[in-house]
Amino acid sequence: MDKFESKGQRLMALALLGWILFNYPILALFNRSGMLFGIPILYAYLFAVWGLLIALMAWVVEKR
Amino acid sequence: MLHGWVIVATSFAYLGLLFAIAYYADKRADAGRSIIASPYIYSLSLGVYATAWTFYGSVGRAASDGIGFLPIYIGPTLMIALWWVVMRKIIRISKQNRITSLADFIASRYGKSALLGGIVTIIAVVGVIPYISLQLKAVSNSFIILLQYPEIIMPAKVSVMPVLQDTAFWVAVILSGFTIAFGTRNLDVAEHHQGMVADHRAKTDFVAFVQHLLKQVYATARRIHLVMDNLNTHFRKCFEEVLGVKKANALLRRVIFHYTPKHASWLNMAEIEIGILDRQCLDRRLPDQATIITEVNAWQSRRNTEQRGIEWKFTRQDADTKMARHYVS
Repeated sequence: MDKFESKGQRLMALALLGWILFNYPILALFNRSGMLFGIPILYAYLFAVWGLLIALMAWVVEKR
Repeated sequence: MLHGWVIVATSFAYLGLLFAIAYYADKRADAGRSIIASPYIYSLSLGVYATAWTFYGSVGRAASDGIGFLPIYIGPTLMIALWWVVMRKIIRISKQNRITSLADFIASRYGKSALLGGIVTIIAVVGVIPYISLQLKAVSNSFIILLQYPEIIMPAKVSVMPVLQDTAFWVAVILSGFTIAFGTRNLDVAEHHQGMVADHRAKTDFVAFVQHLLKQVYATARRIHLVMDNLNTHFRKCFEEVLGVKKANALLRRVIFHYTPKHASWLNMAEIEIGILDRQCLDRRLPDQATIITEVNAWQSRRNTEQRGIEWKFTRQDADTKMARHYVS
């Protein structure tokens, strides 16, 4: 498979992963009281996954 | 207490800075060294997504629903992952069909329907009006709030004032000036009608080429036989269109046209060979004419010693079976 195409497919998989992680069943797991380093768990989860997705995208795009 | 003119002067200074950057970027783009070609500047420039209203809207949502402000940022982030596939395709289609607006794009996807294009335009215009008014409201409210500083006084929910005293009106005037200066300046007639222009060019180019051939290369020849395939520019009609009937007749007096068979032009073989030359030899950067000549000669002699022919998919046997009933036995 062409390298360009495989990048596209990996990025699509990432978008799908993000869609799953940011939606109902999984998101609901983190919707509870409690703090992580002084940050509410839901917020910490959302921002962590957000950052992780951006990092993964950068990795997929920049990888040779 | 901030004076009105301080706020206005600061805003204008900021706008001037934006103008300067836009001007600089334009200059660089003209020189072929676009600053947007940097991935970092491109990514940062995506910030135009966040408008004046984002300042109030996002902060407001964060204040009223907490996490509720986040989806409008996470959504685009997920979409950006699809750009590699989706955006590239959209850009390719737009470039191929010379599409510059969303309405044209959607219309062209559904059989170039003018009605559909019109509907999309109307929906887009109607849909964007409330959003534009929110932007203007955001700017004018900021102005009113800043005027009261250090006291924080929210503007009244409904304030009726004459149009000429409404900050939003003046903001609209300034912003539309900005848009006219930088947004529509690149309106290029040729760009939008390149298809038409390119077709016209092909005809004039061909006529100019034949003129050169007849008047310079074969100026003294009594008869000139032009062997051509059936491309639309290769006909007497094309000369008449470009030069006018009289001049065309005078020019073509010595010329006899010969056309290759419509569905079996042997000129295609020559064109295939030129295509291979392009792919195998010319499809890279060659710095000067001398290099091009030596490279093409090298390719040509290699090609000739290899004795490469064309591998026909349609063989004699195929022809015999397929056309047997046309043969006279």
